[in-house]
Amino acid sequence: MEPKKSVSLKRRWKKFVHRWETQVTKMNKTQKFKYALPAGVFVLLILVFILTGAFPFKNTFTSRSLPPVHGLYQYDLKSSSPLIFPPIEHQPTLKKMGYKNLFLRASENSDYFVKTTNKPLTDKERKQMMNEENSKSTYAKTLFLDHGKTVYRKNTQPEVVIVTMIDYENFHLDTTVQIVQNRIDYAQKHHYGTYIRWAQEFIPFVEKQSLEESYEYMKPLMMRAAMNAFPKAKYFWFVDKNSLIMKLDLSLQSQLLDPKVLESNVLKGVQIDSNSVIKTHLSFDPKATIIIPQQQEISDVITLSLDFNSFIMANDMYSHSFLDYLSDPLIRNYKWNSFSQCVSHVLQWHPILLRKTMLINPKTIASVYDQVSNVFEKTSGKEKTTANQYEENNMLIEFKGCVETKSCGPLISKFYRQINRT
Amino acid sequence: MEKLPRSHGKHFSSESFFAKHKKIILIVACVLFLIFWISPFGLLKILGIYSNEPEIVIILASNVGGGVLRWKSEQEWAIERLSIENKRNYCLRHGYGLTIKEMPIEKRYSHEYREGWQKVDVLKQTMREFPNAKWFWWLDAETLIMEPTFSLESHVFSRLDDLVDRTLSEFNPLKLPTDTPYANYLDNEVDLLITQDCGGFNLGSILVKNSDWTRLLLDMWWDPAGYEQKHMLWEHREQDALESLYANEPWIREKIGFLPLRTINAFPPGACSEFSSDPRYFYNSNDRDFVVNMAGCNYGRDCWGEMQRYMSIYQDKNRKWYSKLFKL
Repeated sequence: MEPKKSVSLKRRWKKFVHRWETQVTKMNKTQKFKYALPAGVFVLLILVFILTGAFPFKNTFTSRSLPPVHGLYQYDLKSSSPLIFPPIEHQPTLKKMGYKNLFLRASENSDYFVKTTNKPLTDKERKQMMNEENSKSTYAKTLFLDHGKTVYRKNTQPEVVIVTMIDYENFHLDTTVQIVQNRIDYAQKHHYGTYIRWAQEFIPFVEKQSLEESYEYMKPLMMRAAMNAFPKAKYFWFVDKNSLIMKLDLSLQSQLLDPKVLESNVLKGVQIDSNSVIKTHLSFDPKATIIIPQQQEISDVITLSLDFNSFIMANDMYSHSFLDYLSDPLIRNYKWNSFSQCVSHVLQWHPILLRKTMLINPKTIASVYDQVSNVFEKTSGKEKTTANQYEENNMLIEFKGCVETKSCGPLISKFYRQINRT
Repeated sequence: MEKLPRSHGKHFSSESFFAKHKKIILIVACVLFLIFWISPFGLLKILGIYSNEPEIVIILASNVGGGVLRWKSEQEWAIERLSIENKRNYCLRHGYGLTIKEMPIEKRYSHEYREGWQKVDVLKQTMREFPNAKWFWWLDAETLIMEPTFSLESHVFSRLDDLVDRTLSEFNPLKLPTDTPYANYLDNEVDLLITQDCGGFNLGSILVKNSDWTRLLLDMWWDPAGYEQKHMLWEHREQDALESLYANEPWIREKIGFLPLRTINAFPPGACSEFSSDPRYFYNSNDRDFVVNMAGCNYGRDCWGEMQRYMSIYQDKNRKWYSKLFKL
């Protein structure tokens, strides 16, 4: 039936066209003109419609051009790899140079600043500079200042980005190498990204310009920069320089981010910290995007505190709001006792952010190596234990207080050797 | 060959359907008509055509600072009555919602850290009250809508691309930074529309979108740690706080748009009087400015006089031959 039908259709169509043709050819000039005029007008109208649609005149004159988003620096340096880390071998050179040579300042006593509008070096300029013998420190300085401009803009972005700040002043080169290698080993195993920067890069962007005073407040700056560098990555895991990821084969999703695992580790209805009257929500909100471990220290009383050596954030409005708030000079420079108190204040006064925050069992991503806290506490004479001591098979080990006791180096290399890197 | 009788049969069967169910159809039609008669909007609602929840809600502040401290004068009551009447007519014409919020002096706002916080609380409360509204238009009490025929859609929302400045590059009386890191304008729409006068942000007439961002902003706007440090300097309270947030927190900056003052918040000559030669601030009847805001008329100016003056301009502009008949 089908082919017959189509044949008849074709025939009919041919007939129709033929009749139309003969009609047109039979017409005289005026008739033809009468026929063509409305057709021409119609075609013209359609043309005008298409053209105005494609080139809206209104917009070209009045619409404002909005500036594209940029980070702390005006220009980007696109990285081809999702593993972003600085040239660590420059550590001794940077230490020798000091802030005085790395940054600018108007006079001896004024604040350090950097020119955020400088363009980064091109690959060619970089190679040229590397080959010049005398410019070793200039080269290190340029790369130091350019490193913050590095972003990853490829379409397939890693699911998780490991964020770490390293420190060229208080750590040995060997230790720094181990810290960075640890993050990269882990990221490569799971196709994550890394975003590693010198903490000192943030000195010009804070008001109290020393690591002792401002290191904690650099963490929100660092996280915000990481989110700008990987705009489409889902989660950002901040792992501080005093910690090591011990189980390289466990992915963060299976260990924590899986909703079931997450739900069993969320602390519901607990005080935010020991001084807080506000408690966390009783129900589990899977849409919460800020994940912070809560540590318990047991001595005479139980002390609760938020742990910012290892925490996770998703790249969304709530995280941005949280980070921007912590980096607001009005808040950053307030007379807080500690960074943890500052964060606890945010959560206590702003219920929407509290709803978007999960306090979690620290066993998951923040188990503490206790010997350090014992050594640390011996000086004050009180015995204090942390409820969540590191045990074998824990994902992360945190050498709490090792920066203060200057014991990070030996501890990190001791445990670094225990990691199964195959 | 088969097709023709079949289609004919179909036609026949539909005819018989009407014939068979004449009674039922009649009853259904009667019921529908009755519902329509008793409650026309009810029927429309059932059919899903009409909803009595407006998409735009005007929030009108009233009785600001009223309460136990002093008696209100007759003139103040009269101003309020005129202002409410003006918005009510406007809302009826365009199908917007109107909610009038009392803002008397309350003890919980009397602490020096909390004094400016009523507006934020009222906004939060109204957003809970109208969960399905799309936009809220906050108006101070001493305002008059001078062009009641303008709808917000045609006057503001359809012209956002042309009207809105988002980076302060065009008009920046406070000299706030025009370029800050992380502010992502391209991927974010405007959720809060405000204006600037000669002294900076003016929140006498603002458009607020009903969104998660707005709820978060209202949550973050007031913070005791920030406010404690600044309450002596921040004369305009929540206004100054917002300026500070705009300057320092990109997540807030990227969602705020600035309209020219005269689009929704034109001033009388008394306000910003130091800039009397600058036409950007002042109401002009010939240009058909939308709203006039007698901002700050309580501070040494004559509110009642200004209100009367603009009311008479309003009446001149909007008088129709039939106005007298309906006392409009």
